Amino acid sequence: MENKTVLLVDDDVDLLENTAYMIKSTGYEVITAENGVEAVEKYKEIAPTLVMMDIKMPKMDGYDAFFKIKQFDSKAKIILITAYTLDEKKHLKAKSMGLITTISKPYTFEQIEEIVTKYA
Amino acid sequence: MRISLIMVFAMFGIFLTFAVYGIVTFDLSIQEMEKLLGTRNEVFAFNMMQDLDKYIDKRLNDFKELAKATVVQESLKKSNLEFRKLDNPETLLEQNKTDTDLKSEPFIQGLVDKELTADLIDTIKFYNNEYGYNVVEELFITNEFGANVALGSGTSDDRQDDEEWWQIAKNTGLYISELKYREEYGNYATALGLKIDDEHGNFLGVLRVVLTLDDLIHEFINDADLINLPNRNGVLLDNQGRIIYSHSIQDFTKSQPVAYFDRIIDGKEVGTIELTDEPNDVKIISYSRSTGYKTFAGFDWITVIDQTSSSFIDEFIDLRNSILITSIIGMISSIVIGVVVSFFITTPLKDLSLLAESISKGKFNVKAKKSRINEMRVIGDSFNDMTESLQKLIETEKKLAETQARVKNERLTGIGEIAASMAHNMKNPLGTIRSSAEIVKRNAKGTSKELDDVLSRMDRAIERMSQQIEDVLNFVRVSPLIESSVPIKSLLDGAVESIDVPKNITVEIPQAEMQLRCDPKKIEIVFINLFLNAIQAIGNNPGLIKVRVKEEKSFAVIEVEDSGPGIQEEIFSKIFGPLVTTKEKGTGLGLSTCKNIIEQHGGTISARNYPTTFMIRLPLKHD
Repeated sequence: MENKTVLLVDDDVDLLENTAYMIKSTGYEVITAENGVEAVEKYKEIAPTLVMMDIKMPKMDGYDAFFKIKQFDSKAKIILITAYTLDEKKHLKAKSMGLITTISKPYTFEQIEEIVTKYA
Repeated sequence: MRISLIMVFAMFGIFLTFAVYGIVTFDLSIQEMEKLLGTRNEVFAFNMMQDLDKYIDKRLNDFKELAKATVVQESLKKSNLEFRKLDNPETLLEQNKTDTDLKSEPFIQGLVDKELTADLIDTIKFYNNEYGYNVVEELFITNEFGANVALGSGTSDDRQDDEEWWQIAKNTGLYISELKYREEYGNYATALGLKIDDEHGNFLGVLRVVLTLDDLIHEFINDADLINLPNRNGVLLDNQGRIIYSHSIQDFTKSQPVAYFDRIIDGKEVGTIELTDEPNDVKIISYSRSTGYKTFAGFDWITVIDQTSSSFIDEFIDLRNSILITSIIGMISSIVIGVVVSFFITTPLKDLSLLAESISKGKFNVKAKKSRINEMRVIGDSFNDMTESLQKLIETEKKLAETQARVKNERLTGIGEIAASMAHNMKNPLGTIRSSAEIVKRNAKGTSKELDDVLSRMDRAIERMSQQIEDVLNFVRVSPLIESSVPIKSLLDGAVESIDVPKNITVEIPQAEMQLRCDPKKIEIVFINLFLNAIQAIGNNPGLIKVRVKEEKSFAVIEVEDSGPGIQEEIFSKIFGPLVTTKEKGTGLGLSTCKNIIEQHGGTISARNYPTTFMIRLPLKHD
């Protein structure tokens, strides 16, 4: 079985590490990034199975990173983590471009397990 | 009713009454006046008749006195004695009568009494001096044989006993002839024959005197001069109804009786006749027939006061006309005043009241018309000033309120933004806490029961914080609706599933087929809030949350009723406002958020108490 990799992106390092720990516990490889720019670079580099990305981030926000990644790979599977919807236009556009789903902070271990198992 | 109409009616009525009263009074007054006038003129006529008869009686008495005078008595006795001595006085008298030459000279020398003649001449002179004209045209006395004894004036033959007048005077005591015009006197005259007796009543002779009409009616003429007016005239009629005197002595012997003579003869001795030959010139004829005076029986003459009624009626007609004209002018002017009042006062007042009405309804773009009446213009101007001031005041108030609202809004928005940002910023650390707790929980599971309890308490605290943050964010963020068609039932079921319904509470959800086009996430938030409130209201007692769904005029009506104790009266009116809560752990944003969401959907939410029921009306939109 091919080792599946999840790219986890969040500017909150503590939360990033905790979440990475959770995903790893479910048996996936996790690569982390702390902003959109880094996320896009890492995606191009390793082509992960699933991307879980926070929206509100410095340098490049989650939506823009989403569009860049989709530009690069239209088949990319991306889940956005929301605090609350920031930009409705971008959200709708993202939905139309194949955004899988969104999850809301604060999420539970079970939620992460379910999503990762389902989409990765 | 308009003030002008009342004025017109009142004034019109007054003037109409005035006119009718004037006309009626006028007619009554005329009748009364005619009666009064007739009566007064009757008195005049009667007095004039009395004066006339009295005067004639006085004249007769004058001559009767003369007849009793000693000189007359003595002379006649002497003459009669002389005549009785004559053998043939008849022949002598007859002879003398034909002898015209003897006129100027008594035919029996010595018998004609020179002294008496002189006395008679004196009498004539006396009257002449007294009255200024010839009262007595002819005066002589005969003895018992008819022979002239003394001749004062005039012409006469010497023998009178064969004359009719002499015989009448001798037999009846008095003879009065018809009035005749006498060329020689240039006047009407009447002859009087007066029997002369001695103190024992024995016949002595006859006195003859001719009196002119001027003198006979002397008193009447004086009276007539006094009472005559341009429209009133004293008239004297003779016993045949011919006019003897009217302004002057008439040539009456040749004239016809007056037209109304028959009526006088048929009437009483004193009376009034109305002659209405011409409609506008009624004549009032008041008359008095002669009744004589003392010994004088009267001539059967009639005094008449002839007055034209127009003379006095004219004044009344003038009065009546002036009443009528005044009334008509009054009536017309009352109408004119009414119109003027209506035009200058009532209408502007009505306009002003309409204006006030529209101002009271909040329309300020109205202006009072410029009136030509100063007072009305002042009122109108004040009105306009008031309108402007009011408008300014209201605008200022409005601006102030807007400013206040904006300031409040800005402050609220600011607070909202801070709250949102805070809530959001708290989410990440909370996420870290939660994930950390989860990790610890997994790794330490089963190690120690005490640690498990501690971790559970931490979980509940995290859950509470998350819920509060969610509430704040739900309230603050107004995000566009992401609409889709969803069955109402699935929304309700979803809401029930997402909360932890305690075992003591039953939730009844009807089998509704209705589809609702809405933002399902937001509507679910609404239902969750309502259910949570209901659950908390019911508390630990067994309870029921009943949901009813129905369609009403293209609206979906969803009612959520609970068996709780109801909402406190003092907060009932403001439960949809933010930060209103009865719960220790509540944010007070739940119902406020519900209201925002429902209104964003174009619906309404309201509440009823006892039992607590929330009603949501959402428009049924179709794809």
